[in-house]
Amino acid sequence: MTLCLLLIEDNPADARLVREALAERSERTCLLWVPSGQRALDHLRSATDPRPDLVLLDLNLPGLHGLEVLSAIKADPDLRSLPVVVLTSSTAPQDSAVVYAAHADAFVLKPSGFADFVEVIDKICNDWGAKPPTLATGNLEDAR
Amino acid sequence: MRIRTRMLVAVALAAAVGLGVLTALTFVTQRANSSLRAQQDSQEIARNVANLLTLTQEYTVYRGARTDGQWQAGHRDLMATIDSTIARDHARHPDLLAVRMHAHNLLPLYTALKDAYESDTSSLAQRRRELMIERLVSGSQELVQARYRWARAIGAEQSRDQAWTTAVVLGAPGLLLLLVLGLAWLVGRRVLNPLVQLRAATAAIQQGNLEVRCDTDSNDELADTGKAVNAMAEALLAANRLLEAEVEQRRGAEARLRVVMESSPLGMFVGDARGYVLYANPAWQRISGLAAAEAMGTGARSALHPQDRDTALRAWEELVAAGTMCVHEHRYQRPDGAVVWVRRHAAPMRLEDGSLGVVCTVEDITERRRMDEALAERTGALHRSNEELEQFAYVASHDLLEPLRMVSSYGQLLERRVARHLDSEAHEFLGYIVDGARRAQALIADLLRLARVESQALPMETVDLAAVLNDALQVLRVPLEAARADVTFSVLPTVVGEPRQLSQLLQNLLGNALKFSSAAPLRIRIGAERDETLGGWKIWVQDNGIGIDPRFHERIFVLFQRLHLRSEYEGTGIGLAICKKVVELHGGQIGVVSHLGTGALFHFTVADANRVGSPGDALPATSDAATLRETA
Repeated sequence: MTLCLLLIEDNPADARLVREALAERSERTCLLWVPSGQRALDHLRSATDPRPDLVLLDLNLPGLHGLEVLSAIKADPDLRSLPVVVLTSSTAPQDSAVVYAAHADAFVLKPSGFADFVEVIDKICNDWGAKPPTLATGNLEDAR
Repeated sequence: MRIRTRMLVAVALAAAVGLGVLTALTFVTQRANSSLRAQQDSQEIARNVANLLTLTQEYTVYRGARTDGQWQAGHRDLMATIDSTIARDHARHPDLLAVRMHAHNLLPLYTALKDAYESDTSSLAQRRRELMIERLVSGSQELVQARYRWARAIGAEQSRDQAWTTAVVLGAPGLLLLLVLGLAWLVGRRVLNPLVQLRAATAAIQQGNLEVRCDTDSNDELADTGKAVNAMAEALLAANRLLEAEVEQRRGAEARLRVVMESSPLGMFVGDARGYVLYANPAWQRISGLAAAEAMGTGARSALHPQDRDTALRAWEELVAAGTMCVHEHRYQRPDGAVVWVRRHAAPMRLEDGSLGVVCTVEDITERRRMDEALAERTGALHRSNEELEQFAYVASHDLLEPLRMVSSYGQLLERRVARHLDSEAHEFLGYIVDGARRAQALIADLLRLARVESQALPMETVDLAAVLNDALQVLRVPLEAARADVTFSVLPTVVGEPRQLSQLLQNLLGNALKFSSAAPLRIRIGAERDETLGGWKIWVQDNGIGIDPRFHERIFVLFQRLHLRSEYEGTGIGLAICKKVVELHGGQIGVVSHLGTGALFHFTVADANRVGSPGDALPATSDAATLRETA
């Protein structure tokens, strides 16, 4: 089964890095990239668009800030169960606390260097992918 | 002589004089009486003699027995009269004795005559009879003459007695008068005069002349009273002098106090409980711009700035109610409109009338306040600038890191994807690009850490250093394990500090030990030592690495200072600068003991959690760490 990721990232270079990192993986992964928070929310709420398995969210976004997007997703009953991994280059120590307080599922710093990036993305996909063991019960119940 | 004695003497004298007068009068009266009696006796004698002569004649004529009897009786009477007179006459007057003799002689003459008449009636006899009669008569005459002389003597005596009587009768009152006058004079001289003097003296004392003194020459009660008055005046004078001295002393103290108040650069004023000003010194007048006369009573209130008047007056009321010292800061507005900030120290005091008053010292703190405000403003500006700087550092580092991350990431990606199409030179260049970007990232990250250490206000707390070390070891767990480092530590104390910064400090020191390890297996020892003179702890981290030449011990703590080629030992040259900054922010000092090849011992001081006092107190560092080495 193909893992489907939604990447919310304003910087095309970063988006490309994620795409290249995913390309290094052995498993097939589909990536949907939106450059703004509002468009991401629109996509998630539309009935026709395919629902991703995982959201990769940058914090420094133009317009709607990453934290606002996160809060909107976690406030929406339909979207609440969707895992959101905050992927950021922020080095402010307080950011992780704020992000976890907003019910993010993970807070990951963008590593410098491509090799590290591949490692991080692979780990995210494995931990928070289609069948994350920690979330299995909840997902099954929701599916029923 | 005492007045009592004197009065006794006077009374005795008067009594004596009275008695004398009385005695004299009695005596004189007696004398007069006896003279009178003598006179009567003399007359009786004369009458008896005349009677005898008459009877003698009768007898010569008639010679009757009855006449004879009468003569005999008459003679007996005469003799009895004379004898009784003599018995009374103590003087035994010779004339009286002569009278008696003559009287006595009459009887024999008469008897002879009678015999002559009875026996012989001749003429011769007649003649003899006549002769006898003659003799009898002459005897009688002599008797009469003697009586006469005696009577004369009595008369003279009588007149003498009369003169005495007169003298006594007239003299006695005179003497008494003299006595009274004398006593009066004595009383006047010895009693009245001193009394008048005493009265004058007491009046003078009453009027305040305490120098006046009474005479105390005499030895009487008045002199005693005078002495008492003198002693009283003396005591009053002494008391007066004491009082005057005290008043003088007080006046002096008051004058000195006044000089102090007048010359004090601090404003001072004294007010009563209602806040009415009773005194204001020149400095206060200078500060308030009000003259002393304007300040009196409620005048001083006009010095208060209208906006501060109510609070200042309320503070005064509270002070009066509480009766304790208080400090209040408020503004004065001078008549010319200038505003002055003052600090008023008010303390309760007793006023002269015993009521509660307040003494205030007023300090012009306008300049200080202005400086404080300027300082606060500058501090605020500094804070803002610091915050801005931190924000800038954060944003700058983030925004700098982003493109660097791109450079290094895509550099690596390029290397990965097209490596086989590149020659060795292109590989090398690509390597420089990636490495440069990575180093720039490390530099920025370290600089950011240093900036955080410098700008963050430290919320100091009690920190268990063992927990902090544990945290640091956790962070460095992977590289420490990779280096197979043997880390041992002693019991670590609880100190005052900021845990994250202390963790950073230990991380950097441990990281340093890791980085500059020698060929030998890495051994790191961490320990603490109480330093009573510092009142804190000395913490040390010792390794067995390559060591540091003592020449460079100062330099290693300076930013960007590196001792080695980058190819030998990696690093930004910021780590130890961060350590130094952290220790200094904790009020301690950092140092190193090391020689090339002997390993290094880094030590720093930190405040003890149990020590009372500000953690910011500087702890002097000692460069002599020989003892540390021994314990290590």
